[in-house]
Amino acid sequence: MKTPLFKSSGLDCGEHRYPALQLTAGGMAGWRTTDHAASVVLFDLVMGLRRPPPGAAVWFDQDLAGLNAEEILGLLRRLAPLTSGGGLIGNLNIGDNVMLPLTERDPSAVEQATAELEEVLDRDPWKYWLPGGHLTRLPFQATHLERCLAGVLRAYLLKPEAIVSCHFFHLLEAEARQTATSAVLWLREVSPASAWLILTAESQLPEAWGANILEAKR
Amino acid sequence: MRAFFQQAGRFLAWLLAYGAAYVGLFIETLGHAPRLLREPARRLLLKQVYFTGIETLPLLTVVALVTGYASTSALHRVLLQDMGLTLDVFRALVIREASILLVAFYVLARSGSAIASELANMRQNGELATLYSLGIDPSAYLVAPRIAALVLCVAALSVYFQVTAVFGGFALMSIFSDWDYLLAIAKFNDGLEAGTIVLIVAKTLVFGGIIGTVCCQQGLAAVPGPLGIPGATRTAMIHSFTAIVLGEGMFVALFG
Repeated sequence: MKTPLFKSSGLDCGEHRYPALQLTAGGMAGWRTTDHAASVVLFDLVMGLRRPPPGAAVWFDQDLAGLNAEEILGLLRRLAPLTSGGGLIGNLNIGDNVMLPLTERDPSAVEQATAELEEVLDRDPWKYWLPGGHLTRLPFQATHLERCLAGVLRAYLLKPEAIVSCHFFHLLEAEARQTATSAVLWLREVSPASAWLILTAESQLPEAWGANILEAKR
Repeated sequence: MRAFFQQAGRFLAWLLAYGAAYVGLFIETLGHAPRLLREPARRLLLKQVYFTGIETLPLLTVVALVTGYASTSALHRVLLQDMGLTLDVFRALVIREASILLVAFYVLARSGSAIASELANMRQNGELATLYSLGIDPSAYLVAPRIAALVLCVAALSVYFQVTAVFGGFALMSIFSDWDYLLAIAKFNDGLEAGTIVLIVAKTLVFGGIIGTVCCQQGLAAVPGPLGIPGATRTAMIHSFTAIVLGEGMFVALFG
């Protein structure tokens, strides 16, 4: 039996109750919520941003409920979040946003990561999706799709053990959603992340995650 | 009478709670000091030094010149044209007290308010949570560079202000009145004691720390909703102002 990367005895987010869930290496698991707010609460609980009840969020055999802030931060460094709008910081440009967590986690890897980033952005289809010049833009100058793509690049460069995505396709129009889905599929191909925890609203699942990603796994 | 003591007790509890929060944040920040030497905190520190220190210089120069000239002129007139006495009072009142307070209030109004509203805005936009979910400690990344920059800038700007007030203010005095510039500078330097310089440096470091800590703490603790950002900024201003004045009082009480 595979060791679970993540397991939960179930979560209670106010009105919403979610059943037990387990995520093993090489797998994907999804918690579908009925609305945006519930998936955000779920994300906060799973990532230790809110204190979950004991057993509700256990990453790499460590129960978030029993960890202190520093221990949770250490654990989060093994993951990469993929959130709505890319989860970018408003006063840093897109390029700095992409490099920020890596600069914090492992400064010695920044040089190599910069070269990797340049290589990716020179390649099809990235050179059309996110032209290199756009890296100097601040997030408010970029489209929602560009911010999401920057989030995908960041998750790629972090080389995490698992990716947690929350409401990733929120606010994207149909065409942009297709591009974002392609970017996520690309990330699945190239990222060393061995598992993917998906927290999203019910309405988004069929067309984006459901059809293209969860189904692809089967 | 009982109501009075109840009110006083509540006020004391409120004061202790805020004091503990500020001291806690400052101590936590001290632990992150070594990280200021490397990216990305280093870049944030330099950016804050630029905004708080360099960009402030033109207007602060004007304020320092006017303060130096106006205070010397007024003291010279009141003290019956006695240069020695004028310089003694100028040194004790303007250089040792007023100039540091002026610079602290200037930095508070300019950078403290900006820091409080920026961090409050980041909190409301969920950026603090984003940083945390990326494994980045917001207090190491956002708070430590800002507090360090304010400590450095208040100290450096205070020295700049005092030098400008003395050299520039005395120069203006010599232009507009019968004031011997070189003699005044020589007499001013003669009366300057090492203890005064140490006290000035200590005060500037403490005031910079107060502004940085209080403004960062209030920004990080902003409540959600439309009143969150203005509320955090207002509280940061009032608490910093009060803490600086209390700090000045304590310095005077302890060191004269």
